[in-house]
Amino acid sequence: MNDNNYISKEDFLKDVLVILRETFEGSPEGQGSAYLDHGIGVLPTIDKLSAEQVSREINGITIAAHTEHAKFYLDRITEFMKGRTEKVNWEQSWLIETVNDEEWNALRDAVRKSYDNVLRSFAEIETWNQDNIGDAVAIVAHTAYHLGAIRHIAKGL
Amino acid sequence: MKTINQEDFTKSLAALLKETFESTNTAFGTMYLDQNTGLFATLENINAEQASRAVGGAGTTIAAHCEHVRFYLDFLNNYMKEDFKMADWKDSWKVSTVTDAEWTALCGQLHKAYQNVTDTFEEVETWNDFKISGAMGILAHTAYHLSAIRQILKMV
Repeated sequence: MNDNNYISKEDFLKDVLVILRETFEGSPEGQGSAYLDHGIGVLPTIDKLSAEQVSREINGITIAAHTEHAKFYLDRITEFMKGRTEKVNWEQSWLIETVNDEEWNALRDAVRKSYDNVLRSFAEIETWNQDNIGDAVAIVAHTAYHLGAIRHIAKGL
Repeated sequence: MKTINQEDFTKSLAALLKETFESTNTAFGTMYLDQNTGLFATLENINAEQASRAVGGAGTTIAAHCEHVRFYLDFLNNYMKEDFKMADWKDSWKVSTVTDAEWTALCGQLHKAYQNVTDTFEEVETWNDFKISGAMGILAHTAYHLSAIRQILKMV
């Protein structure tokens, strides 16, 4: 095998972390972004919304439901990256529809914690293989997908 | 280990890209989307009139999202081929409504842009920092707008 058969772990990890940070925190002020406008990310988006707003059903779904689903996915994929083999009942990711103020604060905190856990898990990985690379990239794509839905619904509130 | 087997990365990337654009129908399920909810499967059943309807608070049409996605794909494809032209991103939102012929053409251009991207990915010999970043951007950006398109679809 020559060098072209390998990529630098540092390059991969750096790029995954940059796009993950943009997806959750938004791109840093004064820097370019990979795919989102500045100030847009999961955390700044949900921070601006109230429990009442995220509990409003728009076209059959609420922002609270999308937020819980995205958090549930993060938690389960992080578990898979750490060796979980047990199947997941994904229906359980859609159990939340509406939230009161206290529940919304708790859900937002839980999203932050799940995001921190993902970052910690990525840092702990010694060997990146097809499975955990797929999990990491899927976390980015899945979160981007639900961020797109959340922001679209928010415009209609 | 300080290195990653390049094939491990390209296989994962190709699988997720295929799921995002073409949907995935395997016995092993999908990685992040429900079956048959990829971009092309979603657009297949939308006509020009539906794609041109501005609905909801956002007021953006499906046609606008599609043109924006196509514009981004073409830009990133050039970027990955080290053709670093600047883009005026306002130009990516110039389409709002489409006729039947324009809608057919736009869907065709999207397919072509996707094909160009997959061809470019296959031609990459060494996945370095900016190429990995470009590929991840394509995936995340398309996923974001696919979701918006599917939200609008509920209303048109």
